[in-house]
Amino acid sequence: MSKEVNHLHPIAMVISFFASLKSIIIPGIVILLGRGFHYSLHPDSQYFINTLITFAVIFFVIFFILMTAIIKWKRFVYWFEDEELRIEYGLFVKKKRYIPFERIQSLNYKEGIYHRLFKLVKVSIETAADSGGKSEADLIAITRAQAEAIEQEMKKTKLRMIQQSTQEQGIDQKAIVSEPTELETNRSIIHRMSTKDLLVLATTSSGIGVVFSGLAAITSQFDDWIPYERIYGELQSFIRFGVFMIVIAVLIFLLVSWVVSVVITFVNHYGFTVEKEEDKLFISKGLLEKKRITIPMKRIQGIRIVENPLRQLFGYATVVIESAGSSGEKGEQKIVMLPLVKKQQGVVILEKLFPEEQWHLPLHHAPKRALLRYMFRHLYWLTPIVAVVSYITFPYGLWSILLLPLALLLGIWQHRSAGYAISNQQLTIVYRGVSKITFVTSKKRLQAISLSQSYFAKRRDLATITVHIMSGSSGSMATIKHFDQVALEKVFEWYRPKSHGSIDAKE
Amino acid sequence: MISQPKYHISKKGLKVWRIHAVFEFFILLLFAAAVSVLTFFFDWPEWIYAICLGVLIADVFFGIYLFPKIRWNHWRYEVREQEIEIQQGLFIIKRTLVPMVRVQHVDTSQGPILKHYCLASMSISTAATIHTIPAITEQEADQLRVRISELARVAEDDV
Repeated sequence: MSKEVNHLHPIAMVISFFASLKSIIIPGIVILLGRGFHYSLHPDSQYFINTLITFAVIFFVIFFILMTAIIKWKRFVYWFEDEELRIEYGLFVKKKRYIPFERIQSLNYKEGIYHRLFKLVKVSIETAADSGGKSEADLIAITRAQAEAIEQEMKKTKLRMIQQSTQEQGIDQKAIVSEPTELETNRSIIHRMSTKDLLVLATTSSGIGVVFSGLAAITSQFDDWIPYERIYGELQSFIRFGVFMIVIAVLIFLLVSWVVSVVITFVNHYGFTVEKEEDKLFISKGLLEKKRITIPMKRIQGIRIVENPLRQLFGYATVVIESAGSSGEKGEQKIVMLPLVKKQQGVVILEKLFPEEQWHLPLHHAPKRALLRYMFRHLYWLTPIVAVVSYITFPYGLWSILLLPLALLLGIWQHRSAGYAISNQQLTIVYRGVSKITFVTSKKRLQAISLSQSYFAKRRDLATITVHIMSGSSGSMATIKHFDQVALEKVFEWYRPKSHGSIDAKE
Repeated sequence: MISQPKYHISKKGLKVWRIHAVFEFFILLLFAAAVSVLTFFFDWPEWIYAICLGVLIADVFFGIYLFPKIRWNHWRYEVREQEIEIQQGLFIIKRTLVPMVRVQHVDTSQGPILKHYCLASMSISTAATIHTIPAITEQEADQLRVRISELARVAEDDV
């Protein structure tokens, strides 16, 4: 094995320099201005010495950060040896990290603005090790060729592993020969987002914001109906003016934030592409900052199809993947695989990707007798809040009473949406918060199932079921409430490991 | 109706819960005393005393007597060859099924009160969830821990 040591690209110094600078700039400003702005460059001023010292300190700090960045860069080396990616780094304490290639789950790429200028990438290396949502190692800036080299090295190792295992199993040579060509060229594009879809995504991304500004526009119409004159007498003009101003201000605020979010969504999702190569999914996106994440298919624990009301209206949905380990972006457990597709198209894609799952199972719905419980489930907690709000901010607070019928309608809607289906190995659960969520997982991915029942539910033979899967570095769950008890018990029994009967007899 | 898990937790567990509830009662008592003192010095309305007293009495009846009893009655568990089943709850009874294959590790822990009664609580972790059986005898905990780790290992080999 060659022991050719690689450095990061020198631009890594600049990146880490600015990164550390950014992290101290706000505390720095707070400290500098904390005692009031007493600085002067005039030699006679009483603050002159102070100012000089401050400048010296700032200079020294920047110099220190710069030196740190340079030394860090100098000491950070990586190379390939014994089928491992070996990294040595550390400012004062020398640290070594050896990552066997076979353990690497995914390589995630990210190209920021600096990277784009010099045709570099940031590579995050992820293993199955649970390091709290952080990747195992980051190579801040390397050339694309270097990144390619890592990938090649990784493939070589995995290929050798395959050969070894096939030889052990005594499979004939043909299989081994055909393997490498497959490894090289099998990447196919699963989905590429069209500009039109991207625009729809961007404009409906803050769906709530749109709804709110719509609502605000409607409520401002009510001004004509409210007898302000009688209620407030002389205050009327003042209050009307005030309300008007607030409504306008809120509208402008919502509009601006909506426009901003549209732009951000557009920039972040630009060129969104999903590709598949052997048993891995690649998702890449971004206009200014390009990202590419890798998800090993076998780590996918469940899939959620999310339809928010606005998008559901136009037949659009979002598909989210729940994957074990930390292969998402920082702080994100769920990976958006299809940010916006026509639902049918999404299902077609899912059928192609996950042929073993069924996407058109007929659902069992919540029984009619559960409807009342759905209708009132939000009223239990909402009514007291509305009462308090109405009382404190009388009479404007009375508008909050409008929430009650809305909550009631939401309940009915949730009742109609909820459903589940089980097949031999697969569980599908459909529920609605505000968005309708179709959750699909398989028996072998479920970590636990709970069936719960309150006293009142028991009297009506209703129950609630919660299923848990692994997601990110912790778990994630899906619940359907107020379904027929006997039906849910069947789900519970479906999940119970099969050989149970005979074992129980033994005990 | 599917059959319930077989085993109750230790009868002494109820005692331990009651002791915990008594500690909580004392905290509540301190709080109530503080409110009463403030009421006295700042001439707050007198019904505040009544509320404090009411809350304390309610806590003695529900918190110390009734709820632990109901909770204990509902608490059942069973460790079988292929799965662990747990039933728990106060008003809402929850039954959880954890297949052995999914068990990642088992922890037992013991605070001073549990130790005094030779009890331990046992936590069963999967990749996504943690399930705790609160008060079982030490021997039982040890046996279960050994058994679960054996069964979990066997099951892992199958997959």
